[in-house]
Amino acid sequence: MPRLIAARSEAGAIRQYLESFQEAIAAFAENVIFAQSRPHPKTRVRSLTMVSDDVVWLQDADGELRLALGIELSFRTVQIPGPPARWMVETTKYIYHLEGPADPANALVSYHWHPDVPGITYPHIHMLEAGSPARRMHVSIPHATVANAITTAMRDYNITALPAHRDTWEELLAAAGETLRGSLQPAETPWSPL
Amino acid sequence: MVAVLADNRSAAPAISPVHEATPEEGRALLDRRARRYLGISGDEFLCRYEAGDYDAELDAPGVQNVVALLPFIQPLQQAA
Repeated sequence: MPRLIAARSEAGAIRQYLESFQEAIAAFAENVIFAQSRPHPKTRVRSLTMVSDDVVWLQDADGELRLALGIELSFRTVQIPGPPARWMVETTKYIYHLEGPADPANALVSYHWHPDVPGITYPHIHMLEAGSPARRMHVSIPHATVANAITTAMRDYNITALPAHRDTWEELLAAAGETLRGSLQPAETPWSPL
Repeated sequence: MVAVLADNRSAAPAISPVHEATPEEGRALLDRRARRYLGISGDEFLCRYEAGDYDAELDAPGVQNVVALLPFIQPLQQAA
């Protein structure tokens, strides 16, 4: 079920939104540091990315680093008409990609939604096999979340959660996925406190 | 109907607060990603981007990985 953040402050909405992604990632990799941009002066859009490294390294059950995950998100806050005044977050763009451990990076797949690019406003994936003409194909998919990217990595590359989170990773991934889905069209999404 | 996020998640991992990147940090970030995904410097990417060199391939993997970071430097550009 999409999960809509409705906080009493703009900062609170952003914090809850970002924490859901951070907690999901933290179940798979330690010491990942994120930064956000300042809000754009006109659109108020902010971007989120990792700054501790360009990607998050995911490991298998033996501790071997098998895949890298890259994440870029753009979002903005939207005020819900009140009273009471509440704020929610709208995701405006996302890019996740998985890379193999080769140097230079061996990109495998990208999940894209960038509705600011004319003609390609729908969510899609790129299969990134080096040199393949399929790299430029935009294979239409339903909206994807970071949970989709990580569960693909778990299924197909034996990626596992960190030992401390092997009982909770599923809940954390689900929360991140539901938060993103709830943020895709927040102004059009009815909500009610439970 | 959707659920409102409840702040009762159990056993949440420790995380660091997300900080707001400085303009200098944003430029360094853009430079690093441009070199990683396109093999050029951040300054060169910005020159090409502003010249419209990427207009026909804005959707391309690699290009989007760098374009997505432009908000990290745009407020600085607009203030200049």
